[in-house]
Amino acid sequence: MLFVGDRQAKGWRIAISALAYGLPFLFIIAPLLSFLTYSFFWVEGGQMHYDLTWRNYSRFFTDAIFIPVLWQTCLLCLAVAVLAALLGYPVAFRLATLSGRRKYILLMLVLVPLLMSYIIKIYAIRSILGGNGFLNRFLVWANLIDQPLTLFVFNLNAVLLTLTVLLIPFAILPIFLSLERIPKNLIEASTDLGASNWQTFCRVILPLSLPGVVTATSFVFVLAIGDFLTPQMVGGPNGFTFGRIIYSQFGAAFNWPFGAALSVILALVMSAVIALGRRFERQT
Amino acid sequence: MMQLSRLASFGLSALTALVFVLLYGPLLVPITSSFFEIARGDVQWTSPSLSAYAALTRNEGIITAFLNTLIVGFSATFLAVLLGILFAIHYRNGATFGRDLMQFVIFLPFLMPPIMIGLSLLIFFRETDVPRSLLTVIIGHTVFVLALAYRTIVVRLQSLSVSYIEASYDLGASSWQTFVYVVLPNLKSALIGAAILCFALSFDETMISLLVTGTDNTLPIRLWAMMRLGFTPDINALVALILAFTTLMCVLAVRYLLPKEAEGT
Amino acid sequence: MTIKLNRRAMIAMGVAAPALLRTSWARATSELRVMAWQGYADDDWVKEFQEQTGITAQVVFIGTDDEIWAKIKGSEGKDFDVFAVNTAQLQRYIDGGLTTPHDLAKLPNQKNVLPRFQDLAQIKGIMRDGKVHAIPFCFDSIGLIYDKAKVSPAPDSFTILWDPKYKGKVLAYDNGEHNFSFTALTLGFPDPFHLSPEQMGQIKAKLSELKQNVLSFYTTPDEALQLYKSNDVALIWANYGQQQVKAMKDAGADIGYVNPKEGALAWLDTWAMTSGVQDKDAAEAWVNFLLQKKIGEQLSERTGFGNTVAETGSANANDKLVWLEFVEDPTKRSDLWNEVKAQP
Repeated sequence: MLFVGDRQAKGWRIAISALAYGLPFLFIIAPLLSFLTYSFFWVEGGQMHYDLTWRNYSRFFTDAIFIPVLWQTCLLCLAVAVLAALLGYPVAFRLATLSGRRKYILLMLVLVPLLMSYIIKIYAIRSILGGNGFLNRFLVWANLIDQPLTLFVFNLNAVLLTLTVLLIPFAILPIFLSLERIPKNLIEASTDLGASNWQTFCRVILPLSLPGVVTATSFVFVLAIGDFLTPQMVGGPNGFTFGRIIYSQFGAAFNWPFGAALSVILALVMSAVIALGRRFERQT
Repeated sequence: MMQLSRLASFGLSALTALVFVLLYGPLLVPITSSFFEIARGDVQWTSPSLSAYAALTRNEGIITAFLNTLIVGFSATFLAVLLGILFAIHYRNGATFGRDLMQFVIFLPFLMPPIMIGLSLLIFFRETDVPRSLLTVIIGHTVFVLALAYRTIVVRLQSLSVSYIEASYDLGASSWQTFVYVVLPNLKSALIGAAILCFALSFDETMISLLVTGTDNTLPIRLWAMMRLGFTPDINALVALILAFTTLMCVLAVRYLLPKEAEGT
Repeated sequence: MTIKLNRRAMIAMGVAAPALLRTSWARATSELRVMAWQGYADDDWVKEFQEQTGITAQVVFIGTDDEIWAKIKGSEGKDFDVFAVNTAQLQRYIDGGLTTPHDLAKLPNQKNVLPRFQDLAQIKGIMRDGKVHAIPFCFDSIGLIYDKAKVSPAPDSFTILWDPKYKGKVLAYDNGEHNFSFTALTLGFPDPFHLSPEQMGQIKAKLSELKQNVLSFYTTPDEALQLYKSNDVALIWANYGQQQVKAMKDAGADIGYVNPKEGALAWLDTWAMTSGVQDKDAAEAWVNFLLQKKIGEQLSERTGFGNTVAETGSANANDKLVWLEFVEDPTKRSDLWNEVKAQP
């Protein structure tokens, strides 16, 4: 393979290996590991104790609030990821079927909203969704409803919708990139062999674009879980997610050890979810 | 791609239109309000004005913060894509020692809450006496967005048929020639895509930036702090300008940079 | 626990794109590094300060108490010279040895502050072992905002927040510490900052009831204003006091503000120097500069907060103000508050 077994490129290979192991060690493993040791310290009465203990991890399992909140958060973010992929796939597909510059211009237009600060977007979405927000005022004005809807006012629906709107571009692009790579002749062959469009899609296009779909859903899932501002801003009293618990440990609670332990647990859970996604991708 | 039936084509277009409405709807709020003065909480529809834009030109703090954001965004994106290519080639070709573990490591900063990454980097930089500055912000962002670049590139590299590379070797090309003439061109759209995702993420990153910056503000740090007192109208102007500028850049880039032969798939 | 690395090697490895990095990691040290809330270090003040003293103030703005703590503690005070912090939060910084005491001789303007801020020993929390760790700058009470059209007569007690009549029309603040303190006042507990476990239990139950009555828990004043504008809101527990009142009145809201009879919590923001302060004189010059009457007036005019130098209408002389103190166990309160929020 590349740079392997090529005498002249030996120096390059060694350099690449050195960087590929060295940089992650220096800038990821070293800082994170040294910080993760905090997760074995403990805090009581505002004082940090530096003897090693498992109590932060056991507290996650014994305290009644953490597992339910983590579970709900995972469900919510999975819903966001699936919704984003479901909405993103047709868009990516539509773009991939276009030809010429139109395709790339539209693709760029999908991505442009990413460069609008997300805090500003959340504020805007909130002014649209509120009880007297633009959406309700429009619906009432158009005589579609009599009373303002409460369906999207500061509850988990609003969080779901807002996160999806914010993160869709992160779903569209990976799916588009994988659709774009499907060799044209495969599709032509399928059509030549008498397969209908639907059959071609199910048997050829969908399986070949699955890696992109898995990438898309895992990007969106991870970004949704990491976001602690959106649930706070549009979730109302129930907009309480695992990300917010972790955030509060580093600030108000002054419990870095517990925050670090919860971060480790969250990272493990997310890796498990992503690994499951990969398996699904390989099996199909 | 295949020839779509009318119905399918219409359905897809309708869904695409819906997604565009979702994406652009929220943007209309700050953009429209940037052209009107707001008095006593109400938009003065009758008197359009550019005063927000004038105020923006006087707001040096915001402009500097915006430029810092661009510097960080471009640098971190460049580094992340470069490293993404390097790691992808390394872990997809031959070298498998600790591959799964190292991939996990690359993904970790993306999986951990940003406040945790920010704190660990801050403490790490403190212990190693690296002064906090925009440089440390760039390192922090590179670490954070690397996973996106790596994953996007690896997916593309996997779909690149091995026979291409072997053919290149058989024709007597060196590794470098193969990389430059066979691999890179095939990675092109994935690289552009990866760069855009990385830049977008870096552009909005608040928590890591705040924790590892020295005395420099970035735009998200300023916006985050402004949430306490409310956004000034010039922020709407800035947002509108960013949108106009990026849209223009995108259209121009596609119009002039895309070679004719890229038309049609 | 920590891994020491050759600094030069690290920097060399980090600078992979030197062409893009024209900026500023090796700046002159003569500048003053300030961490402040929005509104505490406006551009025109920074400019005037530079003209007067020749010192360049580099200001980084923060959004929450949590971030100040993470940033100052994470850098062990080395990243900033002077920072804004309230008297309750200040205690953990003093405990952690993250502050440097002020020298009052360098702060002549402190002599001209309002009478109630003259005697620093009378202000709880800013002195420790005879040393002044922070200088008061800005304050406000945490009272109740009510919509005059929806709440009549004017409320005089926090209990109205629990009134089912206003279900879904109440905005409360997302902060465990404060919520436990004000609920303690509402329940008539004598010391809201040092609660017994039984009292905590009672308060937790009371807060769970409050959650049922609340439309949302906000974190910033602007957020509360936006919520008010796009929803049917009658009552707001006003963590940012007069500032919120000003912002809402500017937006055309017909509202009133009361400090309820149980006593309103009040916060006091101060300027403290970090343990890593590089130029103490410059930091004190900054604080002294901000203690001018003109600056105080501008601060109140622009933000609505009360200042320590010029009289404002921030609190009526008859209002009972309960200055925030460091609470018995912030971790515990935060945990209990998380439990309240996690309930369905």
